Amino acid sequence: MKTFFNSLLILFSFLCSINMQAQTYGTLEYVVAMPLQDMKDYINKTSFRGIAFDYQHKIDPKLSVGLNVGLSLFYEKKSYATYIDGTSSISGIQYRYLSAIPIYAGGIYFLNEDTRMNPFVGFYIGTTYTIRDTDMGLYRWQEENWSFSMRPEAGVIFKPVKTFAIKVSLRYNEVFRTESMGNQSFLAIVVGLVIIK
Amino acid sequence: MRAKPNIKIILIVALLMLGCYPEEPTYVDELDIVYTNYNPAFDFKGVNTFALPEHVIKIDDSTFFNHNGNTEPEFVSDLYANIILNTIRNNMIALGWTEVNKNSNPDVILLISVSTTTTIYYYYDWYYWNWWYPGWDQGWGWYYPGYYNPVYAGGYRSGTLLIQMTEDVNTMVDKNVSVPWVVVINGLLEGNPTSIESRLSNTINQAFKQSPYLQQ
Repeated sequence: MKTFFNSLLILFSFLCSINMQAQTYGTLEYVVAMPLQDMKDYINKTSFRGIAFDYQHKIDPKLSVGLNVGLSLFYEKKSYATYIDGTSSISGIQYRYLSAIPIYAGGIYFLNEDTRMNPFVGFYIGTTYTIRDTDMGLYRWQEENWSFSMRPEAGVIFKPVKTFAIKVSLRYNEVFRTESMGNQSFLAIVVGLVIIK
Repeated sequence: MRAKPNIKIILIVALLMLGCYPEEPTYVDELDIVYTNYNPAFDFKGVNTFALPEHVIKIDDSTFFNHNGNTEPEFVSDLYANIILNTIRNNMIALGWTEVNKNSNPDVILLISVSTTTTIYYYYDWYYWNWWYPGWDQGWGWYYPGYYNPVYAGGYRSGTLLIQMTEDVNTMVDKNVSVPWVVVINGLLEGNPTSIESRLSNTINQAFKQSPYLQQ
């Protein structure tokens, strides 16, 4: 996971160094994520360990398109419990870890053209790679899953100077159910540092 | 003027995130697990008497070969064996079972073994028991009708307590003795003797608690 974080930072720095003619937004985002639906049954604790990188390219004064890649790490220690499966029962303390890696392409619509405080709405479509590790005793059970996912977003960008802004937004990640894993959706609050070129 | 990424802010955010690592087990008993399984076709209420050996056997990585049944395997120390056997005995009696001598045709016999190897084999050799098991004959084995074998697991410095409830040998199929109930208790081999004693009795009690079908 440290490698993934480092890769995001390197990617962020690289993209920020590219000099483009059109206006571009590179954002490093801190993500607080709250589990919803089936994910809530597995882990019901808010994740304060999330990071994402967003890259937007303006194609119109009010519209941009781009990519977003992130990682949110969820964790919960379950109380001592007995888990029953058919005729077998197993008791112990479970330590549950979930890593969600959303990879999206989408667009943002800005309500104003170029103001200091600019509200926006966005919509993304992509995939989310989910890894669930359940530790019990000295053993670990791992499940992995790729799901189709989409994400509406609403927020505001505060731009005190022309080249730098702060972004705050609310995102709903709909991570669809697959045969191997239930719906792994989550709601996220995002605070981002935006470099504008 | 070109804006440069604020490296200090990026580093602070990254360090904050990496610093929030999740909690991990603090005490060894948090790693103890208790697994039970049973044969749903076995009529637990149709039987009542049980026999317990006077020792708990120790299974290790070395091959134990005892064709004639005259050699005893290594036993677990009396300190721990007494805790194990008494806790099992008390639970069985509390559930309405009656303890009898192994030669008095008990309905079921409980075999208790401890493995301190890095891997647990659900099918260790019958030679470990032929010194004690009434009526033992060469070529015997176990089978687990109606359910899967106990889990196969690997671990580091872990200990496993295995309890097998074996059925009357007259019900044997192809020299295989039926095991209608099994318990696997696994944990880290750490801690002082008092702590190990407490963990042993707690986990054995839990095995009975999660097996309500044993109630007479």
